[in-house]
Amino acid sequence: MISATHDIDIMDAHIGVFNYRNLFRADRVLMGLALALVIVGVLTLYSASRSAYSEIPYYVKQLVFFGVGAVLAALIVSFDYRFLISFAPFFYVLCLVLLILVEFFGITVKGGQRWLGVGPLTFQPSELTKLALVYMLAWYFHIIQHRIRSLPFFLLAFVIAGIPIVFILRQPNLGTAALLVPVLFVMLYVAGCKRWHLAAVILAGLAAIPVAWTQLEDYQKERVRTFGNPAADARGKGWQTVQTMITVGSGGMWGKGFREGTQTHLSFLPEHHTDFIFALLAEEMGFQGAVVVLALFGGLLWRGIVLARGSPELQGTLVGVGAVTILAFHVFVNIAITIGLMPVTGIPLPFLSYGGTFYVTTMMCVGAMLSVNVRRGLFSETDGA
Amino acid sequence: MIHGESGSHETKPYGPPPGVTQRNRLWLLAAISCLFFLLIAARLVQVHAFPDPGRLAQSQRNIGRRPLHESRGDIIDANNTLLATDRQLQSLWADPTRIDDPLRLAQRISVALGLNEDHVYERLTRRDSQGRLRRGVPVRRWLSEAESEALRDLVDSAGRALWYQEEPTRYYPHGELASHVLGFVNREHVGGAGVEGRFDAHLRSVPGEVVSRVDAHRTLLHSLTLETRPPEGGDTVQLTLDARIQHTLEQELDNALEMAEASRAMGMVMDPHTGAIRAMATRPSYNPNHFSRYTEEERTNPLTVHTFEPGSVFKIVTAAAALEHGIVTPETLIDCEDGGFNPYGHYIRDFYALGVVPFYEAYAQSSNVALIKLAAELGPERLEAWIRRFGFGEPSSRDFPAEEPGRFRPVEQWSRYSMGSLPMGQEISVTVPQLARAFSAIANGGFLVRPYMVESATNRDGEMTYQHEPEPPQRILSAHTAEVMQALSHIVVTEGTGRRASMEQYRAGGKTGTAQMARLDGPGYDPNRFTAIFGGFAPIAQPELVTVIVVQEPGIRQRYGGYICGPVFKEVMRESLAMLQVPEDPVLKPVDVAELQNEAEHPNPAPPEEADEYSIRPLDSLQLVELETDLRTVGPRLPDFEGKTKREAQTKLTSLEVQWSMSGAGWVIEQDPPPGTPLGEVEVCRLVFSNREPSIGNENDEAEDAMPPSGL
Repeated sequence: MISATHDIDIMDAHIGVFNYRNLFRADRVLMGLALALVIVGVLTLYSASRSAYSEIPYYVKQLVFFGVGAVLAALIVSFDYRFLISFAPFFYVLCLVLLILVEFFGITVKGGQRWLGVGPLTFQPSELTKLALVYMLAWYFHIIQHRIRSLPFFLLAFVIAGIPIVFILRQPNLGTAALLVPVLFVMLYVAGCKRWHLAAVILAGLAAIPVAWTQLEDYQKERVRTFGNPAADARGKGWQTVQTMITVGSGGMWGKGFREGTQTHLSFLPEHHTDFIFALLAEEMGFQGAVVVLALFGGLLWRGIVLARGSPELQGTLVGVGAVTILAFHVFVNIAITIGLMPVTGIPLPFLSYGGTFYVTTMMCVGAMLSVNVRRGLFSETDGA
Repeated sequence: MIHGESGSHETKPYGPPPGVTQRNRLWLLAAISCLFFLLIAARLVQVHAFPDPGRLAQSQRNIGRRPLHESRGDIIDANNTLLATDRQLQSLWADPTRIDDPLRLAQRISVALGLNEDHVYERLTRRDSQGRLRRGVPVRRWLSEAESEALRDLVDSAGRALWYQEEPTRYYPHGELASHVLGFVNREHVGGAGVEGRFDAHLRSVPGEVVSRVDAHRTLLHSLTLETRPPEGGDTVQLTLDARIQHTLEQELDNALEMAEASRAMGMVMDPHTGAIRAMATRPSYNPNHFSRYTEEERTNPLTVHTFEPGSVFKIVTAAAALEHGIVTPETLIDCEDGGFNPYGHYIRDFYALGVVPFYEAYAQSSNVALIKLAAELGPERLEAWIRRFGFGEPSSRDFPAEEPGRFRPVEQWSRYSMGSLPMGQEISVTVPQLARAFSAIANGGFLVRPYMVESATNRDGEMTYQHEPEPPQRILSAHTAEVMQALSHIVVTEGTGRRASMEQYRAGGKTGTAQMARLDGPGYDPNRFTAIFGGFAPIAQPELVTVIVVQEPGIRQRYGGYICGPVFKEVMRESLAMLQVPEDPVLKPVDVAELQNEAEHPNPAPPEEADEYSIRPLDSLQLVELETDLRTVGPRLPDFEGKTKREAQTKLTSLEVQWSMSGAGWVIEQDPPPGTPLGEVEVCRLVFSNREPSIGNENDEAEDAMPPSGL
């Protein structure tokens, strides 16, 4: 106990708003899984760079994004998450401002006005909004405590989430907007809302689907229809779906070999370095490769839930769960689209898909997942005392 | 611990810890996540382990094939001169579905190319069988460079509606040269006639194929090539033809055609020892670069399909047979009946009325009477056998696509006139190659050779895919008979009907022929249509080339083989032998007839198989008398011009390249220097003309040239 006390003593001396030593206390398992996925992601992108040309190869750029994301993740881990949560309204409002700026000054790429340019750099405020909302909700639920069980406070959470969702829908960016909904639901649920409140909202949402359908853009409707029967227009709108299925299926059990994929490298599969990189992985590494990556993601998310559960405070749990939900949503939806379980929409795969802002978001999520648990050991000791 | 507690101000939970409810709710989320993972894993198993066969097949369809085109093989002559080759020309193609205003476009194209506007419009709006606009239509194929240049701006501005496409086309660098021999290549790039047709299998290029993966834009990926099949064929075909000799022959035939005002001139130059055809031409000709402007008949090689009666040229067969059987020697005296007789019920007339003369003289003057008498001695069976022996009535070569074998009746069907017709080349039709073959047998010492004109075919790897295989030589004449026939032929050129074929540089031998052509409107002969023929070889000492010249339907009065074809033969031979660097064989020493005569006293026995069948039976009219004869002097000596007209003398002197001065009008009565003076000593030949009636006799050297037709 003496040595333990000594340890605590030293650490306590450094616990504060910012302590880089948190990095050494962070969960090694989660970090190991994340690092494994980073390596897999860079290698896959290295393979994709064979055919997706750019001046600087994608995997090199991706490594730069990883660096940026790792620094931000390290900052999140180093900060006391309570401190970060206390600043959540500020982040939240900042993101809303940025979203409004996008509305007026955004750069339009592929039909979506999502990017903001700062000098030579561009980034998507909607990406930052994901984590900002997690922190904002954690802040809110911490403020209201048990009052979440009353309907007005329950509904206020929808307002908090609804404002950015509306802006993001206007870009339009259906994927990110859709992500924020499960984040809200999961956090509401974990925060302890009444089950029937949530159930009622979900039922209402289902009932509103026909209304939502009419609000969809034509191309979005088309995507859903194509999902139903991609072969009907295999050369046109069903192309992506059909080619994705061919790509994944042609990999077989053991794959065609690293950088040997034909479907992807022969440009049959568009966007194979971004949203459809899982198809490239499945083609080149086969079923086994896909399962390994799936297992890595599973381990990461599982570990994230375990860490969130072990957080000493509810707000930590909420942040952890929110971050896990963001990653889980991306993993599930992206892979489900790739293997033909969902209609095509632009959802990148964490660690693997090329894309700067999203990579940074991913790393920040990992940072958030790690951060909620760095003080757990201390509390065990304290509780014991 | 105290210290720890004091620090608990910092470490104390800021908010309440997650309650039991919250923690349990996390498990629910984890369970839902697991469900998702299982769903995805199950789907992965499904996709990987049981892939949709249809979709896999579609992935297999991502294979592209690109034909590997190779150009059609070249045709080259014996000296590797390029005679036919492929070249790429641009064709103008249009996509009617992308044309907005076909009327205006048609107008612009038709103006630029000089085409019919309606015709262009029709192409620009062409529809397929289902009534849809076609996506690719050739507007004008094989544009000239000037044409494609004129259209370039239009094509550039038309975007994807108009484009140029390179298409191979056959190109004959020498135009009409050897066109009938070469043939042509049609629009489908298939050989149409001649060598192009006969050797299409070698010349034609079978496209190879590259099979490889394609990307989504159907671009072939060479790094993923699955299979490569190289193109086959496209062999280079080498002919025996010599473009220089061919050119000379064609030029001389053109001259003859113009000079004689004839409808057709044909000629063939052949190596008598191997049968290699050095030149082969017909005038008028056609340009294979524009083959479609000519009728099929115009494009067919007449040399191999056009038959004609050979006339007196055919006497080489009769004479050779008679010599071989020992029926006659050059000095055998033959009564030529003073120009005509009637052994078979129709009157046989000679051009020159000869009395009793040695055979060589009768032959040189082309006496019908003498040859019919010899044939009578020979008998019909042997005559027919000899005609076959010389290769008449059968196709002469494998290298001609569709050769006409020529016709004559088998002996059983001969009429009572036949023995009076066949020996002098009537009742039989022959082709030029057959005549060339017959003359070759004399020139090469008695062997029947098979004419050929394709030496070899070589593929792209340098391997020979075809090589001419000479047949074993077939002896049809004894060496002695061949030698005697050579001497007789030489006399024809030096003193007989073929004098216009004689040249200074090389001693030549040959035979003239002037045959009436059959009526076009009924049976019998047409008195106004003739075939003039000269066949011969040179040099006598060692014959290197055989040449047969045929001019049909000459429009001038002098329509005789010796007159019309002799000079052609002479020019072609002289130039060709010089090109082949054959040493000159000038007419220096007279033919030693006496020497020939000595040999003739010990004539070679006839071929044994025939000697058994036939006995030599003397014919009453044939006087087998040996006679001492003067040595005939031949050489470049000044001829006797007495009694010649001014034009005749001029022609003769010009051909001898002798300067002249003339005085008076009418016929020559005086000449200086006197006849027989070696030409080398003659500086100027002075001739005096007078209106005094000339005396025409048998000994008149130029009778054939001067005399009007005597109702042959």
